[in-house]
Order: sequence, then C-alpha cells, then structure tokens
Amino acid sequence: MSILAILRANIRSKKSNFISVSLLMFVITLVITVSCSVNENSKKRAGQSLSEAKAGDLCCYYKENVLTEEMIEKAKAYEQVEGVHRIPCIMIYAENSVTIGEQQTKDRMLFQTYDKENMPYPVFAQNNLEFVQEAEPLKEGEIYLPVSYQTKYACKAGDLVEVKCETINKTFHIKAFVEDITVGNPLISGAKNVWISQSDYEVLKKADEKGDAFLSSADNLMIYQKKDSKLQEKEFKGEIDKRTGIISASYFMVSKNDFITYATMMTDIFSAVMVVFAVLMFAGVLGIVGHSITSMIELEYTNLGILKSQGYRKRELQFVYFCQYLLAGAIGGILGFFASFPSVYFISGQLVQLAALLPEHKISYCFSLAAVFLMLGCIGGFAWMKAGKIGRISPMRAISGGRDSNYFSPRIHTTLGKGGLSLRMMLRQIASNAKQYVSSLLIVAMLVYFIMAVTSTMSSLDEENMLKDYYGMEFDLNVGYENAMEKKTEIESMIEEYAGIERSYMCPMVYLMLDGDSIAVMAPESSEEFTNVYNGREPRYENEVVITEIIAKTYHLSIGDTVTLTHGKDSRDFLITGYFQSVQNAGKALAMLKKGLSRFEFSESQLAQYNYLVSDKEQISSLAEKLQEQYGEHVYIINVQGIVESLRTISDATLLSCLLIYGISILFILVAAYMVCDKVFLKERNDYGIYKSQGFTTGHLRLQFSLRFLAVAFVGGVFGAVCNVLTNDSLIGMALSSMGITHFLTSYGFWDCALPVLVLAAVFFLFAWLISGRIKRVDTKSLIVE
Amino acid sequence: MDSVLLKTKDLCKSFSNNGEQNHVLNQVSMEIYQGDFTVIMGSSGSGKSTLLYCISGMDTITSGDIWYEGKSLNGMNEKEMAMLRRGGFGFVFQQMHLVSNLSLFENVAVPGYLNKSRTTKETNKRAEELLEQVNIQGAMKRLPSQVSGGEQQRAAIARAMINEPRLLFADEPTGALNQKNTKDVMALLAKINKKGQSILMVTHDVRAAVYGNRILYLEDGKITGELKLAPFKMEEARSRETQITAWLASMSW
Repeated sequence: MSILAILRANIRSKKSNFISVSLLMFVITLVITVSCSVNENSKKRAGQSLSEAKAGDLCCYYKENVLTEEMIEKAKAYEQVEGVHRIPCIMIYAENSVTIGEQQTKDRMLFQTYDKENMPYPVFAQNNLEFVQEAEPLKEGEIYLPVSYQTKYACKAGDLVEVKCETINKTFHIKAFVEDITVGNPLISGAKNVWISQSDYEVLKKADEKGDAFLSSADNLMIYQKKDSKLQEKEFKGEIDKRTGIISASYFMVSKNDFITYATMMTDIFSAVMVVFAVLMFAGVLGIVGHSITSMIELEYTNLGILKSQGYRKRELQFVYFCQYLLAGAIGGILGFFASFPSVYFISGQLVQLAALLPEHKISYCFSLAAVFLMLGCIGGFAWMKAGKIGRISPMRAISGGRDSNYFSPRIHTTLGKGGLSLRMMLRQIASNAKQYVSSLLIVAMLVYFIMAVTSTMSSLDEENMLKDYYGMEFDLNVGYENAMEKKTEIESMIEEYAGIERSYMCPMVYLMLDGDSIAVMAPESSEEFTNVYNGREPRYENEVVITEIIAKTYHLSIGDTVTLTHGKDSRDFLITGYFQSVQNAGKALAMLKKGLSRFEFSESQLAQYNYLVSDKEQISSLAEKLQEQYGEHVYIINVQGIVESLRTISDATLLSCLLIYGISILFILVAAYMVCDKVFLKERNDYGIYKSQGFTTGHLRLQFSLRFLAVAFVGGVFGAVCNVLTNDSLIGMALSSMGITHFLTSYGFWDCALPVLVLAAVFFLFAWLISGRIKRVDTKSLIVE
Repeated sequence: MDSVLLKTKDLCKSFSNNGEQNHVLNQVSMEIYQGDFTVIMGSSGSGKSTLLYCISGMDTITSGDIWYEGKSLNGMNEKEMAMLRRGGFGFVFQQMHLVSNLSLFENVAVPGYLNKSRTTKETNKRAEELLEQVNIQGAMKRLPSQVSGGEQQRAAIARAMINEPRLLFADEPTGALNQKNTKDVMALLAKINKKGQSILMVTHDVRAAVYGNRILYLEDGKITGELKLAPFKMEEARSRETQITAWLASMSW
C-alpha cells in the first residue's frame, strides 16, 4: 500500500511526464499495429481475390492470333495441368481512343465479357466498402471498370465511357467497379481488363474482323496446376513451356504468386518503412525514459534519501519507477491498440484506390499484442535498470541537502568572459553534463534522418531521373513500327518538325524465358544507350547481357556467369557483364544489344521499335496525340509521360508512409523537446535563480538556456543528415527492391538537408524558450529556494 | 544624521491558504542607513528572511512600498530590477547557492562580466583580489563541491562584492557553518563593513549579531524593537553578546 501511495504521488506530481510517455507509446503502438494488420490483411485479400476470381496459377497474354488450339490441347493433355481457360479479348491499343468521364485515357484496354461462372472477378458495391453478393449480368451499353480507374480518371458509377474507333463509336455507362488484382493493379503498367456485355463484345469483334485499325484481338489464358501436383511454380512453368511452348509464345506471363507480390507491394513498402520508423522511435522513447528517470532521481534526491532513511529499500523505490513507466507505456499501448481499429478501417479504404484491393479490417492480434508486450517489457526493464541509481543515494547526504557531490564535472574548459557570455555559458552547461543531451541529440538525428529519407526520396523520383535511373533506357517517345516500317521516315519528319529529334536509337523490348520465367528484355543497338549499369560493364558483344539485382538474387547469378535464355524452342547462352536496374516487369528484366536479340528467331517487325529523345520536351504529349491521330492504325506509340505516370506509383507507395512519418515526427519532436527541456530546466532552475539574483536579466538567461538546445538539436540534425547521405541509397534500395529499384540514387537538394535540421533546431529552441519563461514568471526567491 | 539607503513603508506580504490570509509581514516600515551593519533578528517564523527577500526585490510584496536611494522598487520593471541587482545590491544566501559547474573563481567573476564599466581582464583581476581578501585564493580553481562550507560562503561573499554593491544582503550567512567558519565569515563581513560597505543581515545567532551596529527585532511580521550599538570591536565581542542577549530577553526572545 505504501508503494502505491508513493506511486500515486509520483504520477500526480509528474503528470506531464506520464502523459508524454503514454502519448509516444500510443503513437508507436498505433503505427506498428496498423502497419502489420494492413499488410497481413492485404496479403490475405490478394490470395482470396485471386481465388474468388478463379485466376489461374499462370496467366498468359497473347497478341493477335498467336494462341492456337493446338497449344491449348497440348497444355490440357499435360498431367500436371488441372485445366485451361481461354478468355478472348478485343484490345483497343490506340492512345486516346477511349474517354472515361471527361478524360481521355492513355491505357490499352482488353475488352472482354464478364464470365460469372468461370472468371467471377469481385464487383464492388456502390460504397466501395464491400462487394456485391452476386454480380449482375451486364446489359448492352454497360461496362465494368477496374477500381483503380476511379482515382485515375475521376469517374464513378453511371459515368460515360466513350470508345471511338476507326469504324465504330460506342458509348457505355459504368455499371460498377471490379477488384482485379491480375492486371488491374495500378503498379502493373500496360493493358487493363474491362468487361462488357456479350452483345457489345460481338460488335467490337465484328469491327476488328472488318479490319478496324484501332482494334486487335488478344487472348488471356488461365492455366490451372493440379492441386496434388508436387511441382514448384518454377518447375511447372518450365515443364509446361518445354512441352507446349505456350509460355514462350505469350506476350507476357504472370504467375499467381507474382500477382500477389505486385498487389501487396505497396503495403509491403508501407509496412516496412513504418515498422522501421516505429522501432527507431521506440529507441527514442527509451532514451527519453532514461533521461527522465535520471533527472527525476537527481531532482528527488532529498525525498528519496528521506524515504530510504525511513526504511524503504532500493528495490522498493526502484519498483515505483518501474511501475510508473510501465503503467504510462501500458496505457499508451492499450489506447494505441484500440485506436488502430478505426485506423486500419480507414487505411484499408485507401488501399482500394492505391492497390486496387479491398482488404478486411481485421487487427493482427498476435503480432500486435506481442509487439506491445515486448515494448512494455523493454520499457519496464530499462526503467528498472535506470532506477538502479537510487542505490547510490546516501540518506545522510540527501537529508543534509546535498546531491551527489560530483554531479557536475566539466569535460572541457571554456573560458568565461564578457564577450559572448551566453554562448560561453551555454557551452559550459553542455560540457558539464554532456550525457543528458545525448538522448536529445540522438532523437533529433533520428528524426532528421527519416525526414530527409522521405523528402530526398520523393524529390529523387522526379520525372527527369525516373526513366534514366530506374527504367533502364532513356527516351521521350517510343514508336513500335511493327508492320509499318515504310512510315518511319514520315513519322520521324513529323517528330522533327514538332519537337526536334535530339537523338534516336533502335530499342526493341520483348519477353524471353529464363528458367521458366517470363523476363522483360530491352535491346538497344548501341552499348552507349545503357544509362544505368552501376556494376560491371555494359554489353559490347552479341552474347553479353546485363541483369538486375533481382534477377541475380532470384536465379543465383552474378557477373561472369552464363545465363540461358529461351524463346520458343530456341535457347541461347549469354555472359553476364554487369548489373543494371529497371522497374520494367518489377525488376525481372535484363538488357542486351539488339544483335544479341537477333540470335533468336524474331521477325524484323517484332523488333522494329525506336526510342526518340526530343529537344522540346513540352511538345511530347501533343506530339504523341498527333502521331496517334495520323498513324495510330499503323504504329504503336508510347510517350514518356505515360511511363512516368505508372512509375509515379512508386511515389504513391511511399507517399502515405511519408505523410505519416511527417505527422508522427512532428508529434514526437514536440513531446521529446518538451520533456527534455522541462527536465533540464527543473534540474537547473536553482542556478537560474542564482544568476538572476546576481543581476542577469531574464532574457539573457532564457537565451542561454535555449541556445544550448538549439546547438544540441543542430549537432544532432547534422549528424542525422550525414548518416542519411551515407546510407539513404541502401535503405531506400532495400525498401523499393520489390519494385525493381535496388540501386537507389538519392539526389539531394540543399533544402532537403538543411530544412529538417533547421526546423528541428528551431522547435527545440522554441520549446526551451517557452519552458524557460518560468524564469520570468517565478520570483527569484522561489527559483533558488523552493 | 546618516543618509538613508533603503526605506520601506507599510510593507505587507501575505499568503493565502485555502482562502485564509496569512500575514507574514505586517506593515513593516524601516530605514537602512549608508555604512551601517544592520542585523534583523527574530524568532523562527517571524518573517526575517521573507523581509530580506522582499526588500532586495527577490520576492514580491502584497502591499506597501520600498525605496532604494529614493527610487521606488514597485515601479521597476524586470530589467531595472536586474540592473539594481547587478550594481546596487549584493546577496549572500544561507545555503551559499554557488553555481555547481563553475569554479569558485568563475562564480565570483561571472556577475562581474555583466558590469559594463569593466573589461574581462579588470573583472578577473578584481575577482582574484576578492578571493584573496576572503582568503581562498588557493581554492579558486576548485568546484563548489570540492571545498568546505566555509570556503563556499566566503566565495559567495566575494561574489556578492564583485560589482561593489551599495548594499549587501546576507540571509543567515552562518546558518550552515560550524563555529570556526562562522567566526571567519563574520569577521570578513565586519572587515568589509569597516571599509564602508552597508550590510543588512538576517540571523538568529547572537554570536553573529554582535558584529552589527544596529539590530532590528521582528516579531509576527512587525518591527517591534531596535538596538543601536557602537561599531564592532573584537575585544568587546563577549560584552556585546551579553548586552544583545539581555535586549533580546526584553523583547520576549
């Protein structure tokens, strides 16, 4: 009971301390619980969504009439295959042929019928918070769109979708939106599935058959592996392709597991960043708790000595501190845990637009509670350890009014004098008790590190750098001439006229098989086009390739190894000469010279793709539109802005984390600055009373007190900034590796570094200034004597 | 007639405790003269220290007024008060209250740096002289925690003297000292008083009070008696002690 009384008194007299620790634990628990729950829910939903849509274990996409019945029959005949489902589609590949709401689209779209029996993609209810029990069959003029279009084209159910082809114009009403995690994910660039009625499909099909240049037939093929099959995914892919050539013939192939990876990429990055941030914040909390206990023991030296003289043992007093901080942490932890329920609900809602996924709103109880208990254990243990200093209190000295006699011991000697007295005394204060500023310094360093990581990462992902650094090749316009090489001169004249051609080079992009996987291959004509080979060298001969780190890790390859690539029945060996990076195919990409690609049997039309770099970048979009209008029926045009738009999803993936980190950092700074400044002031208020009694003005003393926090925060900030400059590339490379970015190149602006340091230093200065206002408010006698 | 250095009129200081007013100082009117060594005595809780803190401007008053060299302290703003403490007043505390991370020399010199009429070199020289005067020049580089209470109090007196104050306040300067140190510190105060320094000291120790030439008796927040004495001489210490004790007995001490 007596311990309880002391505990109650301690909490009552140090309410702000108690609330601050609770608040920080609240935020950390909230961040960890939400991040882990959202990630777990997303992974679970991704798997469920694929099952509900009856997606195949392998999903292959074919252009034109590449997929033959013979291939399908061969696949069906393979004993490891459960079944095969073919989904005929009509692809509109001409840019700007489709208008959704009021916006022209740049996406290619695969029009297909909604097959309720075989491919029942989940359909969202009006509120986007649940799915309809049973999707209504589409009537003529109705269309289902992937849910990611809601944000991308600012459309809603009931809006119009206009399709303008060469021979027909068609208008649809948006009936509802669909959760399609196969290609509906905004992270996957390229064609998107859209669903129409059978009758509308027939109209498009007839137009295609009549030779409408804007339309083309295509196929989606779902291949289902037998449930009892013992083959690993990689083996299954390899085996089926060997027997049927069905994967090699595809435009590209994605496995079920790949879809899950793509669908949860954003939540993976979000959770990883947030958990690392929360762990570092927790280290900061421990620093604050340690500083707080040490300060409190010094402040309560006499009281503790009196209690000891009354028979309290060290362990009993230690237990009070243990309980005090454990209780503060537990209250924050429990509140944070409960607050995570609405937060998970809210963030899950945001994922519908960001990741085209509607995860459940469940809390990851096991992990979250384990994390809370672990943190509480750490706080309790740390508080117990720090409160061990109570053992050193001598009741006799405490009662006679003395603190630890060697409490201050100046480490460096700064000579005091008239000039810059505040500054000299500030240095003396820091030097006298440097240890108490270490936690503040580290907290500021940590916060600056994270804020800089976020800011510099965002600014590094700008349009100019994105393509050069992260796509693999540099271009403003890519034109695929396919069967219209005779138009090349005309088209180039037009590009020259409108935007001026700075440079152009041939660069086909195809898919080849590597160990059963579909790998994107870029093949420029010249070695000079490889803009981001960061290790080794670019390919110079036809049998050389550069690979991404993801390929290297997945297939255990390194520079100097030989890799076997397959196209249909052709297999060729290539020597790996270096590493590059590309977000193409989420990093499953490699690059070689065009003459290397010529070792396979590709038709000239398949390889007739050219990249153009133009002088007037502002004309790119309008030029692309003009080319589309004039030559859309013959050639396939990609403009850089379309690519950048899809790459910008990388920014979106980190944007949510960034905003949260900013918000939490601000809260953390405020609480940490308040706690540290307050404790230091309480310890030194006696000195300020003495100085005041000797004729120092309040302003002088407040400046002296605040300057030291400005200096500590500044040094901490600079330390954090330096650490960030040294490690940001590796950290972000790790976080974005699932997207294909393994070698991140941070570009720092002056303000990216300076602003967080200055803001944090200013916040600490401001809090110190406000707290030291007590020097003015409280009379000198009280400062000295009470 | 000696010139009046500091004067109070109807000085009151009250505390409110659960709505009940507790008058610590009750209409105190008194004068402190230039060159005097004035001692305020009184029983425990009579308001001696509160009076000292109030008239030195370190504590607020409830009503009344204080004049220093004819100027009211009531009308002074925070900066003017700081200037007054910087030049006009010096203060010696019972618990010394030296800044624990400054050496004895620095404790003495730092308030001196605020004096605009002296350079750093001059201030340092004066600090050294003062430390020599109080006989602790050998310990000047030590921290307060590394010297005895007596040495600390002597450093505190040197600190209070650094800016040559017109009036030196001393709140029970020997309260935390042993007999020998008490004697040394009081001899030091007597020595500086002899050189013309005005001192206002609060004490309940008769052996310390003998060094004064004027004793005021405070009871229940009011000045109830005054005893004027000749300037202090060491050889008269014993007889003065008897005289003061008898006077105190008459004041119901």
